[in-house]
Amino acid sequence: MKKPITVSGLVQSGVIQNNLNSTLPQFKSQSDFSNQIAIFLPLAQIQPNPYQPRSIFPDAELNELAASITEIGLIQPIAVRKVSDMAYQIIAGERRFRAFKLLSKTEIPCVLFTATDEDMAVMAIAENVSRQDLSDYEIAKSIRTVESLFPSRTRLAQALGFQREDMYRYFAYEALPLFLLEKLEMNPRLLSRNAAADIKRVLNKMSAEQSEIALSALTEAIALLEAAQIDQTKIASFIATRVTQATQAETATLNIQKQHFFLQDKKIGHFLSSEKGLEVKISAGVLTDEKTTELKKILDDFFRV
Amino acid sequence: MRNFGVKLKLAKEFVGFVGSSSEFRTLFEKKGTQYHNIYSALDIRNARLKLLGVDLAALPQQDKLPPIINCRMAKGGTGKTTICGGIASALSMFGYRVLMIDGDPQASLTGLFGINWATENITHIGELMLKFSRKEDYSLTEAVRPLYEGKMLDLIAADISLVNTDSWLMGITNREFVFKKFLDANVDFFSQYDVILIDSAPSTNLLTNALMCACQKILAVVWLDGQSLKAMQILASNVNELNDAFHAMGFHLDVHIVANGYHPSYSPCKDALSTLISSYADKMNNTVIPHAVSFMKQVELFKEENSGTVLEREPNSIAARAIIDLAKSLVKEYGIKLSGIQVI
Ligand SMILES: Nc1ncnc2c1ncn2[C@@H]1O[C@H](COP(=O)(O)OP(=O)(O)OP(=O)(O)O)[C@@H](O)[C@H]1O
Ligand SMILES: [Mg+2]
Repeated sequence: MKKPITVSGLVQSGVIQNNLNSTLPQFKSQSDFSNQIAIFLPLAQIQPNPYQPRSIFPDAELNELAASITEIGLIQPIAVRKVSDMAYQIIAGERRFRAFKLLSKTEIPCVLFTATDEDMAVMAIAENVSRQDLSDYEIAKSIRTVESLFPSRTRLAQALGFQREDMYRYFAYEALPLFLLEKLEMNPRLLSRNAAADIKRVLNKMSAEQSEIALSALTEAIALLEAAQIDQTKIASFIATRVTQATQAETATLNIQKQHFFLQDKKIGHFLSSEKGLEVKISAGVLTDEKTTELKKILDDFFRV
Repeated sequence: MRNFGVKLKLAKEFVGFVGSSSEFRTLFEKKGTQYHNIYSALDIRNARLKLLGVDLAALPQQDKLPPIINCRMAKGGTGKTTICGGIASALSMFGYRVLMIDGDPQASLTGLFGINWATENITHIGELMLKFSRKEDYSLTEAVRPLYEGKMLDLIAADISLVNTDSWLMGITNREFVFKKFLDANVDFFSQYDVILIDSAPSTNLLTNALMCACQKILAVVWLDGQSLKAMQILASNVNELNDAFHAMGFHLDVHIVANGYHPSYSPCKDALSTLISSYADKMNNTVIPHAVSFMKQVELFKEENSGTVLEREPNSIAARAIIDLAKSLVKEYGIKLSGIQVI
């Protein structure tokens, strides 16, 4: 009788191949769905997410959560990744983890995920951004701490699902003067990312002489803000107005003055300043086309500030 | 009832007996000389239990549903019915109690065992489920046809009216699990069997879905050509969809694959088999069913009552051997037990 035909026999004798490249659609295996199965891990083996931007967990909030856990149990297991033997890091759920500690429990239900450092950072931030109870400043700080994990700010923005524009608003905080950053450390809600970006923009426009005025205007504005006498969205224009006023006051003291320009002892034009304005006159044919363009550019740049 | 038995050599193989033939014969209480060398499914079952030293009367009543093997493919003519009927008669001859359910309105499994649905009074699975879901009375014992004596092989037959099932399934809630619930509600009845085999229609519809949702693992029967492989795409999306929809309830349907119709001089067979093994290495049954004329001779057109599986008609053919090997592997693959006893 002939030998029975088997898959392994046909592969072994080379009649069929078992390593073709093009393959048929796959059946999803149970594990494609079931990373939702929770396991119990000892609290002692679990550490917070190092990228977690949230550093303060108000006691009242934790007590409330702990009470609800005692009553109805933990509804959602926390998400963790394994970092080494018997050591796990929280991807999401630090509040639940802290509430469990508060209850002196020894174990907590966890769902295991595999996650890279990048993933950890993104998940920590994404979770917090969507929760809305974290301030822009705290988000900005956490973005800064994970920035180095990404090849570029553009990639970072992509990973976090931010518009590039929005991303730069978060980065605006770092351009603020030290005294303001110190205040933000104490009170992260003081300035939104939009206000920070506006302030950064107006400060950048100032010339070296103006910046001193601008800084004192900012200090004044922040004091008003803390006293709730100005809206944070108005700070930038407050500074701009102060600087313009100061500049105008200076021009007023110039009075009427006329100064002549000479070329080889010959008058070729003048500079006149009065309450009507400034006047510069230069006789025809004195300046080459090149010089004219250069002058225009200087004036142009001057007004652009 | 069909009068079928195997000769000594196969009987010894099925019992797993290694001693001499005369020793083997002492396991049976044969009256007269008429069936001297013929062993029925029931004979083999009893011999196995005897060898295992199991007291038949003391066997506990099972309370769990047995494994279910649903022969399935999203394409017609791939050999679902041939394989379903074939392994049913083989498993029965190994001594397992087998229930077959014909889930195809074409009723070809019914026909394979010589039953002419046009002239018989048939209560099919659709009718049973309908009555169950409407909380009407039904009798499973009357619906089931005995094929091999001693409840070794029974059949819930089908006829063309099974096509109507989809129209009422459409209107009920949780329709995917109506068959599963029907089995659970009648666990006392179904647990008499060691395995349930279902022959399915090639279409993808509410009935085929319901029949699959009672299983843990369907048996996909693939005919070895390009057309048939294309149908794997339909089957995969069908199975993935059910798994997607119900995984939260703890449901998961697996797939086991058997290749059918291999011919050593047809190159498309080899290409198809290469593609299958490359795609589904961990799901493939090692037995390949050959393209064999014996399979084509199973159904008699004008003497329907003479129809029967290859094992019944040509027990020593290559075709029957392949079916026996396949059935043996399925005992392991599906964890089929002899009245609840796991035999290694
Ligand atoms: N291995 C084989 N070698 C030769 N012929 C075969 C083989 N398997 C099946 N056949 C033949 O192919 C035809 C179709 O087989 P079968 O009825 O088992 O397929 P099916 O998948 O149940 O079809 P349907 O989709 O119509 O229910 C039958 O005539 C059968 O005898
Ligand atoms: Mg069929």
